[in-house]
Amino acid sequence: MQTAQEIADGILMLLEKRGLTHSLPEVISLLSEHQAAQKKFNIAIIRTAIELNSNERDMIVEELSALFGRQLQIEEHIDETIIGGMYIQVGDTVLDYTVSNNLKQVQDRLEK
Amino acid sequence: MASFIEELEQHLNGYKPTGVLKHVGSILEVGDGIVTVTGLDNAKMAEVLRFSNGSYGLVLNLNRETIGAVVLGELEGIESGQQVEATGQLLEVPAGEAMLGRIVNALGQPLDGKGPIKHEKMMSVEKMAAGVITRKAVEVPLQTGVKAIDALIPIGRGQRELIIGDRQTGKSTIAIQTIMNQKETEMVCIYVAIGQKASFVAQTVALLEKEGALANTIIVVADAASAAALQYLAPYSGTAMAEYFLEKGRDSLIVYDDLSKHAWAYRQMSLLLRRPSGREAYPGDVFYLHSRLLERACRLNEKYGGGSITALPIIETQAGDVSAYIPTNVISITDGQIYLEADLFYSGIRPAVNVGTSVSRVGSAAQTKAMKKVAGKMKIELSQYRELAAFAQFASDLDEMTKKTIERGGRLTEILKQGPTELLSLGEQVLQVWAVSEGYANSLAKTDVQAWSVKLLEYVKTSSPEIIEKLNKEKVLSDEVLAMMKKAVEEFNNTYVK
Repeated sequence: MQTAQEIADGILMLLEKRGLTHSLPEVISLLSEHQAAQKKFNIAIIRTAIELNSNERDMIVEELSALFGRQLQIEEHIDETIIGGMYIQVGDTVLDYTVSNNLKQVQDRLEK
Repeated sequence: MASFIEELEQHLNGYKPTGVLKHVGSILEVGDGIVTVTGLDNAKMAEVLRFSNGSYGLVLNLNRETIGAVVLGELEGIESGQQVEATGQLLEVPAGEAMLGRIVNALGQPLDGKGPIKHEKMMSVEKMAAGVITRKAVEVPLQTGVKAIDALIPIGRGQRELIIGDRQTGKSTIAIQTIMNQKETEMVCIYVAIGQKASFVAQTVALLEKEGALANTIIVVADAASAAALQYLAPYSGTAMAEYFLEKGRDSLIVYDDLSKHAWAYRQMSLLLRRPSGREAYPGDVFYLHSRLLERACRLNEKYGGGSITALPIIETQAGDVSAYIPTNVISITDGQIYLEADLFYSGIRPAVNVGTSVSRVGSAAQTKAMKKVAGKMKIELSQYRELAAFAQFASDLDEMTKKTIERGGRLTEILKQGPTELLSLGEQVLQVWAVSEGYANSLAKTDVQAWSVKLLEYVKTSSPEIIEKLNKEKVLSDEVLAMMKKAVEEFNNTYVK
């Protein structure tokens, strides 16, 4: 396992060798973009109609981390338009357990 | 009020509110029918996307950060920033008996205003062609009802025969005649119009309806006004519908009218998707575009149902140039081609089939014995005629033998002429071709041969209809039938006055 220091040294050495030292800022900004994406990857956005209590929050984090197989952080939003239930988004995966979605299902069914 | 609530309850019977798991991305860019989406890291190639305006999309490019998709349907209401849902499904079209007699778009949705279609099954639009083990050689004939084709370029069930020629040389006419000739058979016909004028499609539908051939035909339309994505999909959708009948062990005939426009639609999509372009700006996989489509034509062996899909792709050439990119591709994929020439067409030889350059690589195995017997001789005589035809203008300086060959060839060419709605059964074709190649029309001028052959047919049909019935039933030229034909034609010639 290489340490972060070794990896950073390696990058600097590579840039020097190729005469690209001037592009270090670009490399850093790309890496931080990558880090942001990684962070997004580890965040679960949760929409509920009412605020969650700490007990519920812990349960959700635990369940979701088990489901996705990685430690997730949650970002909470209050959204009354969903009426009830919960809307969870992790990366591009959406778990839609909202009352508004159920109502839409009923609507689709009746329109058919 | 109470009944209304009851009805509502009935409709919702068995409904359980459930949560849904879905994958959503967001739109980065929209334009020219192409959408670029971010997110959807797990999207698959050819997966269907659902846009928030209700339209569907098809994934065609998977890049590092984004995916490129084409919109199948309404582009209006799709804006950047909107959410896109990946459905996790590959594209499917409805198929079944109820599709027969209907006009549908590339997604199988009805266009004829005859109400929704109760399909039996959804069929995958993209499917691997039948494998080697499941196939069988082509050996059952497909009667087109066109003398020039059935006699000289026979087509078998499961074959892929290209119809190629310039504009206005009767390419579609031959395909439509073939469809019309199937009306009394069990054959299912599928006519796929790609990039055609809507007026032409309407005319074709009206003709098929008038001739009573629409009832066992599915018309798949992606006209010139349809999105390029739909024009691209139409032939695959049509084939998927045919594969439903293949699974049931039935024979089907599919006409792709035409694959030149299909290649144009695919070129447009590819350029807009920024795929690298090659010769004539077509993308690198334009060969595979058509080879994977035409490979799906097949004849299965009995163990796998014994059904077949016969494909008649059409290619339009520019100024007779068969060595252009798309024509050469499709020629090499298919099992032969029917080559139509503008010069022949304008000199009154219709269908304008060039019997010298047209070939059928597998069809002769499928030709009926009766036709093989009469047409074999004709083929040789026609090829001799073609060699000598150039000398025809020096008629006075030629020896007797050459003169005779030229005259006979001219008569044989005459007998192959046929009107666009005139269809002949096997027996009728055999009788006419036999009579001319046996020299019963030798005393006539070339220009009278056509009228003579029509009258001959009328005469035989009334005086001894059993000849044609027998030929149609037995499909062999027995000595008995030969004697009957001889007698009938001699009798007719004795009474014939111009």
